[in-house]
Amino acid sequence: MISGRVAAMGPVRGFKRRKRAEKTEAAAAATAGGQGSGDWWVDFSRRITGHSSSREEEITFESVFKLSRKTFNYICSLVRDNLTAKASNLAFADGQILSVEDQVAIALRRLSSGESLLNIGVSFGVNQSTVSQVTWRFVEAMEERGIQHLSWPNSDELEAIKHKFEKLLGLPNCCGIIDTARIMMCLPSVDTSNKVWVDHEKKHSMILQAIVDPEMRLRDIVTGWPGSMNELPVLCSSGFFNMCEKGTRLNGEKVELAEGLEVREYIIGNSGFPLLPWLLTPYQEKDLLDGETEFNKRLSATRVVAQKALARLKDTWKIIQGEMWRPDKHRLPRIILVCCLLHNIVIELEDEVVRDEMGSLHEHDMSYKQQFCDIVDNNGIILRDKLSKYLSGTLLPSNES
Amino acid sequence: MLCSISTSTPASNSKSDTNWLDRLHSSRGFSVPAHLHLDHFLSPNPCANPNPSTTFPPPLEKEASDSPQEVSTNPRRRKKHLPPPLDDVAPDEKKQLFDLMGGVLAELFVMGGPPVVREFKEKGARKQSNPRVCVPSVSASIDGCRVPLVTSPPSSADNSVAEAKKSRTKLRRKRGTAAGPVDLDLSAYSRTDVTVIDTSCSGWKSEKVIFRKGVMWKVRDKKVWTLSRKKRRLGLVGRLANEKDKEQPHAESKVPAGEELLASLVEGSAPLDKNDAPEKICHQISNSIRQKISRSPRIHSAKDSTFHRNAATNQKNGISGPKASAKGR
Repeated sequence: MISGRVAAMGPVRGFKRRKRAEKTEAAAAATAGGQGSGDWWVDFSRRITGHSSSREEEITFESVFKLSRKTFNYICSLVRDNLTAKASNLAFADGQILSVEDQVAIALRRLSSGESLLNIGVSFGVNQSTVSQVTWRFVEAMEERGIQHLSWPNSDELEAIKHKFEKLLGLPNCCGIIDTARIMMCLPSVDTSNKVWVDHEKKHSMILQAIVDPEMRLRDIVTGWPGSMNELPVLCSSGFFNMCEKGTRLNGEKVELAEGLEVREYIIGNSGFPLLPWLLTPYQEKDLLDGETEFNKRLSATRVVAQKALARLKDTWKIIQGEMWRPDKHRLPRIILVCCLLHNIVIELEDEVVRDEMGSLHEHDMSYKQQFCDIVDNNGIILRDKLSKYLSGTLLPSNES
Repeated sequence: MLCSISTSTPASNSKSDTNWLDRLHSSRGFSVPAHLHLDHFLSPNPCANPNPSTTFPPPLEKEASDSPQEVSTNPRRRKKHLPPPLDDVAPDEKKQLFDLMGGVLAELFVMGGPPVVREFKEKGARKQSNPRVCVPSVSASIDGCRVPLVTSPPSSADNSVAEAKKSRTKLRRKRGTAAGPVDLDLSAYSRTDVTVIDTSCSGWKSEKVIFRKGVMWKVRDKKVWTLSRKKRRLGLVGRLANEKDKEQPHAESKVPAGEELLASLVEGSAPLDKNDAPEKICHQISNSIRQKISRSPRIHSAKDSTFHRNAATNQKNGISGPKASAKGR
């Protein structure tokens, strides 16, 4: 009986395999020839929803990917070479080979929704292992091709940034805002090796330190350090810190605010960071002079930009928002990097979809209390006092935001 | 044997005893005073009485007079059946103990006293009678001071332990300054491999190894990716040249400023000498943190986040508190 069943199933399996092979060849030919409906999204949306209409498809695309089509096409163009260079048999469940757009769509959906591999696989009609493979190929390709979208500004860009910061809330010669976000993870607490990932809020997390410009672009990031390390050790171990200390960064021209009142280039941060000659933090005392209070006000108002940026980063790319279930801690920083790259790309391409949502988010890591660092440097104090003097004087710039 | 003796009739028993004792005395060739009986020899403290002739043995005589049936019975046998009152036993045991102690002391100081009971001798040997200071030798502790400490005989003296600890910290400090952080004993630290992405570094992706022990941190580079590729491509000559190049910066013990900061957070010892001006701040910060740590023991037990909250302001190192500056204006 058993042998009979096996014998009966043999030919059927072989038949299926042959049929799939034929389908694959046909699909590959169709993709190569650019046949079909002519628009990738029409076919893809039909695959997801089973229908599409001319006006709805644009809305649906943006609701699915939280991107404009223009940005999507740009991302595809970035990674096309890498994704087509490797011959792969990645295919839909029906056997159709995944095109570059399909792969980018699946990966973007995975990164933006944070849904499980299984859910995405089911909704897109692919195996969950395919979702995993496609996402990782995309991450690797973006690392290689998109890294130019996350770099410290050149001198021209820096001038524009400084101008915008001053225009925003009157901080002269400010080059950026530094802030830290926590990427939450769900790790087994039984394993003692995971203790290093437990932060001061008793949660498993990975640190993301970012320097943000007034356009909410991330201009420098450090990530991968475990949650038990705080702002100070992460900052001190960063390349940015070393370069600033060596004088190879934030070494531009000083601005003369008044006679004998020169201000060098600097960035600003919250109270969790040390006060350094190139990093200004708020006054932490209770009884403050008028100028100091004004300085704190402007500093916190300017820092909102960074908070918004990180909140938006996490909200748009939800894979790094929630608690990730036992992630590979060596791969997670690379995923975070790619999310940061995508975040910048979206801003640089002036994506209207995301711009509309910019104003709604203000904070990230709501459950984390503000940390305080008492380390202060004399030159940092002098610079901060200069600025508070300047802000308390009559030279207040116009507040055009 | 004693039982068999006791089963015999009292009359015959007393008779045979004297005969047997007499026979023994005569065969061995000693003369025994007539008033000494067998009980005298079998009693546990034959020498206890300095003047036996005058006082010996009243209880036996008394017993003999009271009950003639028990004259011949051995006192040991009597003990077996009828436990003697406590008043009788306690002095006996005291005397025993006194004798044993006397024996031990005699043996210790070679006085030539009575023989020492074996059991007591073994008990005495369990602990060191003359505690000595035990310091591990410097030469034996290159690979880490733990080994000699563990293998050395345990010492009951507190000062010896303190000495050993002192020497251990001394050695660690010595190694730390002489050979650099590479040679430090990291066995006590928990090791974590991490992949760090830093877009301000030339190779923005790097693998690091974190050594952590409480609030103490060490960070090491784990260069894997680029090295393996180079090795594969290079020939033997190229590989040797490459290794030479690699050794050059290693000999200078070039550690990034941040890493040194972390390392100094760990060590609590003097940081490595560095002349680079940009890295001064690292020393300053690390010094201030270190001093704060050394001042307040609370920080030792606290979490890592206390670095931020409690890190000291240090006027000497050019780092001063915000209040001071505010007043100074």
